[in-house]
Amino acid sequence: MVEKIEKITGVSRENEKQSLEVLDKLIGTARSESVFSKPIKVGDTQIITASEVQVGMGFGFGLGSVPQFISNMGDDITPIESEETGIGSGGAGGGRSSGRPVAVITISEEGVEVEPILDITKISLAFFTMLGSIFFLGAQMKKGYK
Amino acid sequence: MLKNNRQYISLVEGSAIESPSGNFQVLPQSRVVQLSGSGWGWVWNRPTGVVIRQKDEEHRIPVFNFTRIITLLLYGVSVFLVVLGLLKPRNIQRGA
Repeated sequence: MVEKIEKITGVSRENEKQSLEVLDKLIGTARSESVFSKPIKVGDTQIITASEVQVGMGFGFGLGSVPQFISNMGDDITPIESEETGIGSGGAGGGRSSGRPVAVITISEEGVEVEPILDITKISLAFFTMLGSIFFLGAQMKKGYK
Repeated sequence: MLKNNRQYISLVEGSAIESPSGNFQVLPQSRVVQLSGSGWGWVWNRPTGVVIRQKDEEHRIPVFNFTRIITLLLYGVSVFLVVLGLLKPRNIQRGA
């Protein structure tokens, strides 16, 4: 029994260690290289793209065992003696990462130019949300005047 | 190994890029927001600007995320209008 618990605990610790290593690697996106691309040469001009990067991750582990002496959870708390014992462990994790270009930096003999990149889809969605709220306000005001 | 509860905001400078003629250097800058605890972590890395170094002179061109600025503005106006819509009719009825 003890051996079984030790084995499960060992596996759980190993998984946790591996997950922490993955998390450490993900945190490595905090480097400048993940934001600015390597310069691309086009004639005498160098082009770099600047992107916004977001990485998030979380995980958890659990381990539990039921002792040999089990008590039921009813109103009459009577201990039940059992030969069988139960142990279990579980874990779960999730994450999200996103990257979006924000600007294009052009380096030439004339100087450095920063050209913003607009995400029309995102702006349109926000615009239509605002349009919806204008209609909502109009309807509410009409209701209020009645 | 990752330490528990690590939070910081830092300015990261990339490696300098030489101009084609070698007259000036371009130094990209980014800002990192990093939050982490035991079993979780979040990193937000965004470009903030480029520094141009020419002999003794140095000047900075900021990099803005216009998409974020515009969308935040539009969503902010939307929330304001919805709140206004929920408050205004009651006040008009009270006044009548």
